[in-house]
Amino acid sequence: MRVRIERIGDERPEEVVIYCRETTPEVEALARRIRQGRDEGQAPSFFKGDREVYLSLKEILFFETDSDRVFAHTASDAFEMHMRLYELEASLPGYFVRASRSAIVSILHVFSIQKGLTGVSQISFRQTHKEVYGSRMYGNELSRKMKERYLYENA
Amino acid sequence: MKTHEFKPHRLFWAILILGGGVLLLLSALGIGVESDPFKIIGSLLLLGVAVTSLFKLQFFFTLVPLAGIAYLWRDPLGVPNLELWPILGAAALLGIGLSILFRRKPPFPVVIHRHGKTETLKDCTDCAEASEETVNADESVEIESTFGEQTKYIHAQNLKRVSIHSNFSEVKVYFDQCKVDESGLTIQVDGNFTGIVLTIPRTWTVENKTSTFAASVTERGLTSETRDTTVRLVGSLNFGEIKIVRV
Repeated sequence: MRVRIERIGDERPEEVVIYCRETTPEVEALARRIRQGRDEGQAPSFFKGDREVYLSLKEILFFETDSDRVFAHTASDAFEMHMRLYELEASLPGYFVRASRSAIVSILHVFSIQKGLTGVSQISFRQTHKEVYGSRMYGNELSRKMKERYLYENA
Repeated sequence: MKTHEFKPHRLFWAILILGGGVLLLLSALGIGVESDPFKIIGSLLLLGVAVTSLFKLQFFFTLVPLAGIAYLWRDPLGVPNLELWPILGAAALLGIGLSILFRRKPPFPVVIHRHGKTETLKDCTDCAEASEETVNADESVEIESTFGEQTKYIHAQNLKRVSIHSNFSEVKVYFDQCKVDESGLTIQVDGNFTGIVLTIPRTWTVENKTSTFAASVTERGLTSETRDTTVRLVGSLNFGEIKIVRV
């Protein structure tokens, strides 16, 4: 991707414009990082006991918080993280989306979303028994991202 | 010969049911029973449910049967226009409200050590299993849900006890990421109008000791030949289901 910096006068507001052919998750992640004023997201670290484990974010199904601890879940395991959920959210690529106050899910792994009468949705993932509940407050954003994934995968 | 031990609640129900049988018999013989015997027996059963629920501090199951009794005897009580659904609805709402206000204490004390401080979350004064034992956050987990849905992944590394209080809720608890203490695990359930799913490793053995009313405990999934952990499932479940899923 070509990067161009243009100097402007005081009369115009500073602005970053991304010209892209389509809004991919990578583009969204880049936009998010720019909005947050960061050069790069802080690389998350995963721990199993006192061992540091090196995982790809693409392996992660979801992050959930258990009172004051945050865990990253793969299909068959879970790893502790030494970050707050909101700090983690700011450093994640665009294919992660907040599903509730206590969970961030990867739209790459979502298999189904079952909406309940109260607006709370049950989110299940591919090739695992693990599930999380998504709250009504974050439901629209999750649905929008899922539609984007569908369009991206079937383009 | 083994002697049969009578527990107070069994004795209470036995007397109530025997009384109902005697009343039906007297009615069949045409002796001394003026009211409808089925109404009397229905009232006795509802009274039984109300009294036993009151002892368990389950206000919902105390007030709803009492409302049923009030409806059955509306004429002698002087309120012939009493309608069934409004009185049941009022009793249900009062019961739920009181249950939220005066929640039953867990059968064991929960003391959590956090940042060097000891914090007692719950105390128990009259429970059979109460002890001076101190447990920490890696040994005891408490889950509460009222009118909601919740998933809980347990990551404790020396788990001894899990307490689940769920009313009008769907709760899913995952035990496949935790390690259980050598002494075993006790899961205490206090549920009304609830669905609880317990996902456990297939090597666990579950001893079901729950008392249920209009509720069931079912198991799903393959079991392993090797069993390494014993789980005691205790507590009470009314109008609900506990599903044990082995993975």
